[in-house]
Formats: sequence, C-alpha cells, structure tokens
Amino acid sequence: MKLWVRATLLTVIVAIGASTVGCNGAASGKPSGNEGASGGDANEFKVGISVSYTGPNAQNGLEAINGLNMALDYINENDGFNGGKAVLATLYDTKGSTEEAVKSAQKFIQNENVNAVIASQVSAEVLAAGRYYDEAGIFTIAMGTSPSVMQKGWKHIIRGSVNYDFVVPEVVSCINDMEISKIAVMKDQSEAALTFAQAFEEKAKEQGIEILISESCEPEDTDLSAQCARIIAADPQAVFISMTSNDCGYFVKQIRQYGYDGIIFDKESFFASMVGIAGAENSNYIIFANPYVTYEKIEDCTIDNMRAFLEEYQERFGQLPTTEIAYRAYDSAMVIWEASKIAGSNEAEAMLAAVPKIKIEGLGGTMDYSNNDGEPYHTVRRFIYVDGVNMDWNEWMESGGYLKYKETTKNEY
Amino acid sequence: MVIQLLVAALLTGSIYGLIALGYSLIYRASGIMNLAQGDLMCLGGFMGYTFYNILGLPIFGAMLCTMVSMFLIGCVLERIVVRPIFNRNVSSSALILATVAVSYIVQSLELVIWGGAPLNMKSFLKVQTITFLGVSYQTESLLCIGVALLCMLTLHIFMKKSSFGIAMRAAAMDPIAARSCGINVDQTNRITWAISTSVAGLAGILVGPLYGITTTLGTAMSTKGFASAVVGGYGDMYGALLGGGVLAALETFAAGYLSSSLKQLVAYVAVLIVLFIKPRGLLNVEAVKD
Repeated sequence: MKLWVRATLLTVIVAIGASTVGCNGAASGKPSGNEGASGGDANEFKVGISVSYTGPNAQNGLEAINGLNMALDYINENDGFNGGKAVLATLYDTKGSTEEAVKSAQKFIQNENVNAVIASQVSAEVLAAGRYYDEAGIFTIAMGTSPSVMQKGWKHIIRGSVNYDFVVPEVVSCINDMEISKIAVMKDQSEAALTFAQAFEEKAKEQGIEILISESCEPEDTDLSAQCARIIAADPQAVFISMTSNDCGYFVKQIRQYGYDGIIFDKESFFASMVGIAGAENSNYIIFANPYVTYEKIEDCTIDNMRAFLEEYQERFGQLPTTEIAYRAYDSAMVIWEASKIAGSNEAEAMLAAVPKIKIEGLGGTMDYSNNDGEPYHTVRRFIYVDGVNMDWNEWMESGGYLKYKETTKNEY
Repeated sequence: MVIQLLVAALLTGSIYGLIALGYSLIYRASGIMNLAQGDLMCLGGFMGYTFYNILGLPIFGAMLCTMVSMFLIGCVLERIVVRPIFNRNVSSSALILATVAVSYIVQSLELVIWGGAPLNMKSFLKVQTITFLGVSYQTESLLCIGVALLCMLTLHIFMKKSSFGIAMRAAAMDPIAARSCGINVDQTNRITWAISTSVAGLAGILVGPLYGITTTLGTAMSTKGFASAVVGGYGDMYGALLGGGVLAALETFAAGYLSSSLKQLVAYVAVLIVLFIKPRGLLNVEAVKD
C-alpha cells in the first residue's frame, strides 16, 4: 500500500478515534430510545416524543429524550400508568422540519399506536402536526411556548411549558423597573420568535418604551455582523433578543465582540448551551423571565427537586442539561402521569377530563391547570446571568448588582 | 459602522473565497463542478474541532493538521472516486453526480462520528475585542482574514513560482500538451483536488469559533462559494477570490444599509446581473471545453 494512502488511513482513524472518545455520550447525538417498539400492548402505556435530534436544534431534542427517559423510569418505579408499563415509542427525527413533524405524527398514530405524545418545543412543528394528534384523539402535551398552539381550539392538546403571553408583560415590567426606555430588538424568522417579538414590541410601546431599531435574521444564519453594526449604531440602552436555537448564542457573542456591553433581555432562558457558544464573559447581564433555568454546576442550584433531577441526570448522562428542554420533557411526562392517576384510566378522553384537576410541583415551579386553559404556568420569575450563575433578579437588584453594573460599564439610564 | 461592515465583509469574503477557490481549481483541472466542496469545508471544521478542542493542539498546529488531513482526504477522493469514473470517459454529469454522492456520504459520516448536535469551537484568542479609533473589532475575524490572505498568497506563489505549480497550470490549460512535455497530469490533478480540499478544510476551521460547526453548515456555504466562483469567473483562482469579496460585500452592505432581510435577495440578484452582463464572470474566464 502506498505511503500516502497509509498516511491518510492513519489520519482518518486517529480523527475518528479522537472524536469518538471526545464526543461520546447520549448528549452528543446518540439518542437512546426504545427502538423497535411497535404495536399496542394492553399492559403498556406508550409515549411518543416528537423532537429534532439532528441539525441546529439537536441538543434540545437529545436532552428532551434524556429527560423523558428519566421520567418514564421514575413512573415505572412507581406503579406506571395505572399499572401499565411506561414505554418510549420509536424515535422519529423531525430534523427541525414541519414536514417531518407531520410524518412523525402520522407514524405515531398509524404505526406506533401511542397513548400520548410529547410534542416538539418548536411551536411551528406543533402547529403543523397538532391537528393530526387532535383528530386521532391522542393525549398530546406540547413543549412549545408560542401562544398560537393553544389558540387552535384543539381539544386533545395541552401545554407542558410556559405560554409566552405570560412572559411578555413580565419582561416589559422588568425593563420599566430598571428605568430603561430605549431598546433595540433582534429576532429571527421562526414562528415563535416573530410572535414573541411582535407581542413584546406592542407591549413595550404601550408602556412608553421606545423601539429604536428592530433587526432580524434567517434561522441558522450565524453571520450577524451587519445586524450588530446597525444595532450598535442606534445606541440603545438595552437589547431585546427573540431568537431560537443557537442563533441566540452567536448573536450575543458577536454583539459583545463588537463592543456592546449593555443589558440584554432574552425571550427565554439563556441556556447553558448558549453560554457555551457566546462565552461566559459575554453572557453577563442577560435577563430573562422563565420558569426554568439551566445550571453549569449542581452547587448553583438551590431548588430541591431540581437539584435531585440534575444529580440523576448527571449520573446517567455524564453532564448537566445545557438547555431547559430536558426539564420540559420531564415535566410533561409527569403531567401525563398525573392525568392518568387522577382519571384512574389511560384513556385519552378520561385523562383530558382530569387535566383541570392537575396541580403538581414541576421543575420550574407549580404546574396548575385549574384555569382550564391547558396552561400550567401563569407566572414566571426573573433571572439574570452574572459571573457564571443564573441569579434571581430580585436578589441581584437588592444586593446592589444594578448599581455595580452601572459603575462597571459606565452605562446610565 | 462602515469600517465594521468592511471588516465583516472581508471576513465573509475570505471564507467564500476559500470555498470558491476549491470550486475553480477543480473545474480548471478536471472540468467538473465539485458539489461536495461545502461538505468538505464542514468536514474540515469537524476535524479542526477534533485537533483543537479535543486533542488540545495549539491553534496553528490544529490548522496545519486539518489542512494536511484534508489534503490526504482530497488525494484519496480523487484516486478512488474521481479518477476511476473519469477514466471511463463518461459524461461530466456522471462525475458531478459522484460528487453529490460524496457530499451525502461525508454528511452521514459526520453525523456518525461527531453526532448531530452543533459543536462550538473554543475561541482562538483570549482577547476577543480590540478597539481602534473608537471602533470595536472581533480579533478572531482579523485573525481569520489574515490566515485566509496568507493561504491565498502562498497558493499564488506556489502556482506562479514553483515548478510543480507551473506544471499544474500547464496541465489545466492543455492536458495533452502537458503530457507530451513529460508532466504527470494524473498526479497534478490529484494534487489539485488535494489542495482544493485542503483550503476548504481551512475555511472550515476558520469559521468554527465564529459560527459553530453543524452538518448543515456545508450546504449554505457551498451555495455561497459556488456563487462567488461564478461571479469572479468560474475556473479562475483569482476570480474566485474576487467573487468571494464581491458577494460578501454585497450581502454585508445590503444588510447594513438596507435591511438584513434583503441580504440574500440583493446578493443573488447581483449574481444574476453579473451572469447576464458578463456570463464569463468579472474576469472574463473562458469555460473548459468538453
């Protein structure tokens, strides 16, 4: 064999070996699902999950699957679904596409005979596939946050995360509390981001906050230099970002590197994965309102049930979740379980009738469906990322953090 | 804002130029379009991640290892995929299809080896921002521009001054005449593929810390690189670099002064206009005849 061929093969083998060692683990693209499970079994309660585990949203999907697996194991250790064993349906990758989300819905319905589905955190996918679940009468819990999901009138779909309609007023209120009056907005073109940005801008204007400039980008467009330059030229007191997937992290990194050192408001929790992209030093002073936060170290978590979840997650998967989607999937599974326990039945209609009676402690706080609107969270907490930790915003303000920020950055409002 | 946009355009133009360079080199040498160029760039990014993040090599060491690895992969590609099909005297469509197949194979291998989750390369430099005359710049952008320009300069010197580079150019211009002068045309073609893959790999590692690495990155970059090559003059090394700069400038300044929503629209309308007015590209490059 020629020398150059040997050298090539050796290089490729070294690269594969190093990458396999460095990139192993369930969080790196190897979802663990119950492959091969199909057909209905009277002693089983089959749960499908519709997520993307390849492409830019892959990390979210992989962690959601991990969170769901943990929940199903816990449920099985505690008598299952009315004695029925919780089983994860075959995984189907939506690949971040509404078309694939519809296909996976059809497979769950026709091939898998699922009892319940946890639908994607990408609201556009839920909006595309939702009617199939509803028409098939499948108990579905959506992880997405767009208000649109619950406005469709689908009887069989409830939400397992927060509705952004409850987040917008809290964010605007926070901006007012900090006496900030001039904002720049950065959004991408995903349905959830656009909806949220529009609601935010309307609410902000109502409250007398001036939107100096509103920039946008295509999803997955990571060259945001022009948008950063325009935003900095507008000289805002703060920037509000309504972006999904990893775009958020790239924008924060680039705008900080272009010299912007002011407050950034995020439409949702600034995940640890985003901090990984943007860099910890660039992620300071990012404020958001959300039930969930991610942690870089277990020691930073002071919430008992969350801490227990994180410890188990780390033990099973070798690292902490870097997005909040693991929490959403876990909580969604717990809601399904609670519905079946209250109903005393695994039938979808009985479980749905039981939903308004659900009130459980989720990882993000109390999940209370008693308003009969299919929404679990009606209030959210404010957080700020400072020095590597997501702090409670009220604690930060009370401890003089805002004054210290103004002294450090010389920004005045 | 002008200067920041200019630096951004130079950075993007450098990346597009490196990818376009690969397209042009291969077209000039083999007469075909290599539609795997974007995915090879992506592969370079993943390899760069492996050398830099996982194996912990210093940045220039990681770049060098990436380029060498991609060079060898280019050699293998040409030897086991392109050359056998080329020697069967099939139409160029068959060769193009082969490169499409390579593209999908590379993407699938990336998924298997590195997984589906996007990978974030560590920053190259500790100091991320420098301020000059009241304007802030990303130091990584400046480093990437410098490295890309150095690569292009090295390639220019190699092609113009070295005997092998002259042999490559001769083989590209007229393979029959080159053979009759004793030039090993097969070898020069293989090296051309290898160089093309190597510069694509360099582009991949350069974008890593800035934009992250995903298996889908290659598709977007591939289109931009191809458009750059066409705008500059398909098949011309300097045209590729010029095209990359022009396309990047159009995109960046359109986003900066009009709207970010118009970025793609303006850039590709400009590509069409160039094709209508100067179908051989800005440098008026003659196509390779079948």
